[in-house]
Amino acid sequence: MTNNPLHILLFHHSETLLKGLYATITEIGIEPIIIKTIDTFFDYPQLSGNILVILPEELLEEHRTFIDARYKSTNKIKYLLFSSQNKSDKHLYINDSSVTIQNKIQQIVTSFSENSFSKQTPDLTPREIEVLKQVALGYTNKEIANNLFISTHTAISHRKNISEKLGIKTISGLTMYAVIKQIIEIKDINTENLK
Amino acid sequence: MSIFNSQHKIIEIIEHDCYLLLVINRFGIKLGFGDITVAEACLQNNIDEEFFLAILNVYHSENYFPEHKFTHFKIPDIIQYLIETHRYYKSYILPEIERLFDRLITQNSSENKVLILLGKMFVNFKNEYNNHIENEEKTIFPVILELNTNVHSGIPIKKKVSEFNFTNIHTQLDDTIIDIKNLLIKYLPPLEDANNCNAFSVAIFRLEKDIKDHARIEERILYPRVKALISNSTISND
Repeated sequence: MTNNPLHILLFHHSETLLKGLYATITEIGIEPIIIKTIDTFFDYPQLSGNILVILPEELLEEHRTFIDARYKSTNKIKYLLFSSQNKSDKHLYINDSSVTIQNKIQQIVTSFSENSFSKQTPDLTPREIEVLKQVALGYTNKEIANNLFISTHTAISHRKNISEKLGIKTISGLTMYAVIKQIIEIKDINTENLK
Repeated sequence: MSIFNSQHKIIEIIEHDCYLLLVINRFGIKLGFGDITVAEACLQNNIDEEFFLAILNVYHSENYFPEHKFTHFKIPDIIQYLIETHRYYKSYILPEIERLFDRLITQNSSENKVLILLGKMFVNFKNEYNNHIENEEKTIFPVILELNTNVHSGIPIKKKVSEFNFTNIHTQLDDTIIDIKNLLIKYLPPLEDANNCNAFSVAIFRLEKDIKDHARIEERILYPRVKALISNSTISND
């Protein structure tokens, strides 16, 4: 979850509607960010992960380019439209019950994680364990590449994957992980360098 | 996600998010505030209300960061706030985490070498963070404050200062504390005393959140202001 957080942005000019939708969405365990005017988007400049923007149908065309551009570095943006007439299952409709609204949102929330790589933390591959061992022994990327007969680029890419899987970035942290998992022994590492 | 405004009572804000006590303390607002509102508290304590609210809201909601509203805050105010957060790290939370670590280690005296190493990793982190704080307070902040005064009095700034490098060493430090947290919570074999472990984990979570917030204020509010100052001023050649 921490790798790919989901943010729901609730954009509507009506305060009453915002309050109702806010309460409804909070019940499914996600606290939406309330956007009353287009300017409020500037208050949330950097959202990482996935974004679901819920907004009235008539505002989409006007603001889509702006919103897409603001969050172009995020993983994925989806839009859920709020319409005044009951058009399809893909829209939220003003007379929808809370449960219907929650179900529609939940469906989109699930669809985000279906395509996501970081849905579950898989175990390290045997090759990654080899690379981790080398990192813990204090070798540089170039040395690791030489020792394991791979390119430096591949070594770096393994390291990146290891960090992503474990949620550990620093060399000291990776070394400690290797010790805990008995990939290496304490006597093999330089404990003075741990920081 | 609530965004607080000047009409909120301080007590309402604290009831909503008790960790904001840290922030209001840093502005000199102490317990016993009765039912006063933000506006009243700021007036009483001579605080820039907009600055106070921005810092409070940014701390409360991780994603809220209205940069366009930060451009007119006074540089000395920002620095004063950063120094107050340093004081919290130095005299409270870092020693507190070290104490909790020591307690964990003594309680698990059955030669838990991994725990001892993790403790060492934390002490190294603490020392580096303290160096970082000292460097900012003794070197970087005084340079910025002088620069600020000079620019406002129309005195040209020295070339050396204009080329000052506000490097960011936060990322590495932030990563270390996140790693220690993950190792302890996710990977270390369970320790006997859950209460002590929890106290320790909660303290680490607090520190992580606080230093992230601190780094954000420095890198995205203070330093851009300083760069703007430099680019708007005349530079002397000495």
